[in-house]
Amino acid sequence: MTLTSSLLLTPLATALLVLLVPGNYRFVIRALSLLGGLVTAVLGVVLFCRFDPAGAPYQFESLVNWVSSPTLRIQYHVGVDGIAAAMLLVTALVGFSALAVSWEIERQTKLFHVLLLVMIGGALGAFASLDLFFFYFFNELALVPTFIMIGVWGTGENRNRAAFKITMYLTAGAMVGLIGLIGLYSASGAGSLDLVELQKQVAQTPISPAAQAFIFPCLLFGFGTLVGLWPFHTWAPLGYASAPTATAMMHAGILKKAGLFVILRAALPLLPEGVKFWMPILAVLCVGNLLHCGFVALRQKDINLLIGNSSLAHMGFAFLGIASVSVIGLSGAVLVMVSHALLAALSFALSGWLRIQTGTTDMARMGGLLQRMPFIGSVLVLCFMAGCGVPGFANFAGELSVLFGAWKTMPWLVVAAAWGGLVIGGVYMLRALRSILHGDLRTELKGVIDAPGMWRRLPFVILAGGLLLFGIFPGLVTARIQPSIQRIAEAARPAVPAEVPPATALVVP
Amino acid sequence: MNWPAAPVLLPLVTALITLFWGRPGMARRWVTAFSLLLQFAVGVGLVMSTYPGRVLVLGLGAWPAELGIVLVVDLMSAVMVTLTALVALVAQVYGFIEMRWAISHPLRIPLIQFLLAGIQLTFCTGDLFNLFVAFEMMLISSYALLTLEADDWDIKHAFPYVAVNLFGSALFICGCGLVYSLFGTLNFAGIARRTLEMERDGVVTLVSLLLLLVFGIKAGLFPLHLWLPNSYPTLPIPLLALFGGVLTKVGVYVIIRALGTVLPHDLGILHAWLGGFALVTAVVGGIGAISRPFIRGILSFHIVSQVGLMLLAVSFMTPLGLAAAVMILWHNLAVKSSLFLIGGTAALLNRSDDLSRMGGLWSRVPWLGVLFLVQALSLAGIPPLSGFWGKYMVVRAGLEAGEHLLVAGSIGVSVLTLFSMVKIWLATFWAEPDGVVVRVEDPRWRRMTGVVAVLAVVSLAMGLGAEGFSRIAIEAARGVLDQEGYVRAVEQFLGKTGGVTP
Repeated sequence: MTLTSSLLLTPLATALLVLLVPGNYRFVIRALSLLGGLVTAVLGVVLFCRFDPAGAPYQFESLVNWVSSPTLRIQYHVGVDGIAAAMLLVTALVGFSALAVSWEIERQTKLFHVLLLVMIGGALGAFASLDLFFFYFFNELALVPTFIMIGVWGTGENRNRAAFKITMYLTAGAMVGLIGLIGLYSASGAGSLDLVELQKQVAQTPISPAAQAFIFPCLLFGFGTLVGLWPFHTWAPLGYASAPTATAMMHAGILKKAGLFVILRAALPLLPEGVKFWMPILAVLCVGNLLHCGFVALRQKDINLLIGNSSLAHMGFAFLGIASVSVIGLSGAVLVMVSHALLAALSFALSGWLRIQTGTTDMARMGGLLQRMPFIGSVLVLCFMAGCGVPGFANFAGELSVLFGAWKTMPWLVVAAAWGGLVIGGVYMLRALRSILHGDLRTELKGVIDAPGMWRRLPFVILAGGLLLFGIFPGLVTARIQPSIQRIAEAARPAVPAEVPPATALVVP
Repeated sequence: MNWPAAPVLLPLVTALITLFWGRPGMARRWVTAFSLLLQFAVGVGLVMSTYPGRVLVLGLGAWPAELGIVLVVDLMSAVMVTLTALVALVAQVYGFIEMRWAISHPLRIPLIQFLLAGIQLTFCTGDLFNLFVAFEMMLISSYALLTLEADDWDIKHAFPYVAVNLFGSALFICGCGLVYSLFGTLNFAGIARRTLEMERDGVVTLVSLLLLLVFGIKAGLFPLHLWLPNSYPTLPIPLLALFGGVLTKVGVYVIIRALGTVLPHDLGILHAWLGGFALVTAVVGGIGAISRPFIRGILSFHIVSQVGLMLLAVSFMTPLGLAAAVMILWHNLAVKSSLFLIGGTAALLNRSDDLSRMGGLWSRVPWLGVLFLVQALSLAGIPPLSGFWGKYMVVRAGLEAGEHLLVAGSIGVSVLTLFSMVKIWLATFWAEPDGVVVRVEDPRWRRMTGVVAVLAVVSLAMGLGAEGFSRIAIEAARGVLDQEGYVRAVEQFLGKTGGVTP
């Protein structure tokens, strides 16, 4: 079995094992899940390190035929390019962290862990799939547990409504995306949804412009809804506010990126005519994410709603990078995907800790917590600083590249982005920090505690460490994604010559 | 071999035996269950002997072929026979568990068997008049079942059912007359032969329209669907599973058979009309389902919606489209029936299927929830469950036929379906309202859940074994569209017997 298959099958196999453990053996369930998560994380790191940017475009491939009738050909085909390697790494890390913070779940522990492991396996599968059908399948495999987890273990009065809304939005989005994928299958003439075969086929005979004009918006808006593209984003804050911590970490951090991932890898290189027509429109819509969601975040008093809205604003950067269709902009988009995966997961892990300790998510009812929680408080400061794009964190590298990439074609959008993402972001992040951490400690919060011991601190350390590592050495990611990005940019805009490689533009102190 | 007669004869004989059995008791139930198992086995045997692309023909009655009774079984019919027998078996056993023999109505078992004989005759018949006979058999027994244990309210709602269907029968007999005067035969193969030789004719289109109207009533095609969503919920749950799962699908099967095998493939505007009406049917069904506050009502409206989706796929009239329709049809047989049964079990636990008076099932009976979730997600078309493959094929067939509007509509309908499925799920399984009791001490629910699991396993197998499932569906659709092959098989048989059925 190749490294990719082992990576994505480990959590799924662990889920099966956990299923066999009796429900009241809570410790065994936790230990087994964490072990599975740890092995997954290690495999993710190994895969990322062993990926060779100078090697074949897709590495660690494995291929098994599943359905091979002439009218329906589907194969399990997994493999990684640089983008997938980076996403698999953060998925494995966030997955392990999500498992590590799930000690809070006391009701139906076994089922929760099984669902979480399936979600991790599904997310890994989506990023590893080279067959677009399997991408869709794995994505759904990860989404279904999300709905159940919000409904069963969610918090707050709105959880049923949140579960309902997130289910409807995400399924509808995925279905529209599915039309796009099937359209790709029919119009390309490749007789397969295999990305490699599709690329070969399209290189010889491009898809007709009329078909592209139909397929591209299906993919963009269908999978865009999964990312939270404005104005199809309203499911996100509500869903995250009600979701259990681990679910919010996985969904906001990882699953959302699957939509971007497929737009980047399938829609852009295969449908250049669609790109030409739709990218200016996407560029306008991402202002909605950047400014509208930013302003909405500014109004929030609930920390989860604030993080949810701010994560939507960050997705605006990723969309802007994609809309620029330049090498540096696309690299920036991938960097934003990677860094935001860590950032969103860290934010929700922290807010989960705060919720358990203070019993509320209302920021007005917190205050002075830094006195009692030096560790959590410091990580929260780090995290929110990263969120408003302070240099030294991975987000800065990503957002800066996006702004560079977009400047040439859309300068006014860059200004909006800088305002929305950075200035407004700065305002609400700092305000949140002030009301949570500073001031006098309220009397009812005297009993709160900091994360005790190494084990509880580990998930926070991993995620914050990742943010710092990729902030200081963005080249770790950019070097790996460079060849894939180059190919995508060339295919998406055949006439435009290659630009300055982003690695040189990203020397950060 | 005389196997094509077995699916009809077995339920008929069982009906007679159980009717004259004398005092009802457990033995009668065992005989019924055994007969259903046998019917299922016969179905499997027929599938094996018709795959791939073989047509079994059997003549009855020693009459000239024009008037004789010809039974024709191809792969499509064989699979329908098998799945119907399976659903009937599960629904019947579920019914046995639900009600002790001492208090269940003695006529229910024979009537169900008569109904099954009618349904199976529809699948196996090779001529139009027998189809009429089959429809009448179904109508009489289904009306009897609707009113068997009914109160005034139920009878009021059952009345439109029989009225509309009798109107359909009258139209059908007119159609038969018209077909006979036009083609000189009522034999499917005979009609197909004539239409293959004839030039395109306005009268043929008219006859086709008339037949579509009749079959549309049976299937519940908009605007002929109004009888369905009100009359079905009056049925007891096991019967509802049988009616909802199988009876309306008979209409869809007949439309597929008529458009694919019997009538000319080029009917001009008629297919486009069918597509349009099918889409409206699907949307109306989906919206209607949202309006209903109780499980049986929601699922009954969904029948209409799903029928619309199947006919939408048929209207493309391409091999792929027909294969898609066949896939949805088969998947729906299993999934829809099991959803009714799961809903019934949930209603047993909550002592009501009114969503506002249900709840708390997830924490008490999670396995029932898992079953419901799997089937509901399958109905909404989440991969790799069985519903996904049908949807996938519909979208592909629609895109390849250039019917973008219909494709968009079909996806919209999937979203509507999901909407009401989530509504049931939230109200029944997650909500924990005060004052709702879950009667887990009632031992029946465990056995009922076990029985329903059989259907869930079948639909899971359809989804996970997509390779085989799609292969059989494509092969069946190809067989339905192969008019030449069908005609040849029947003529060969009649040629051997000198034009007289032996």
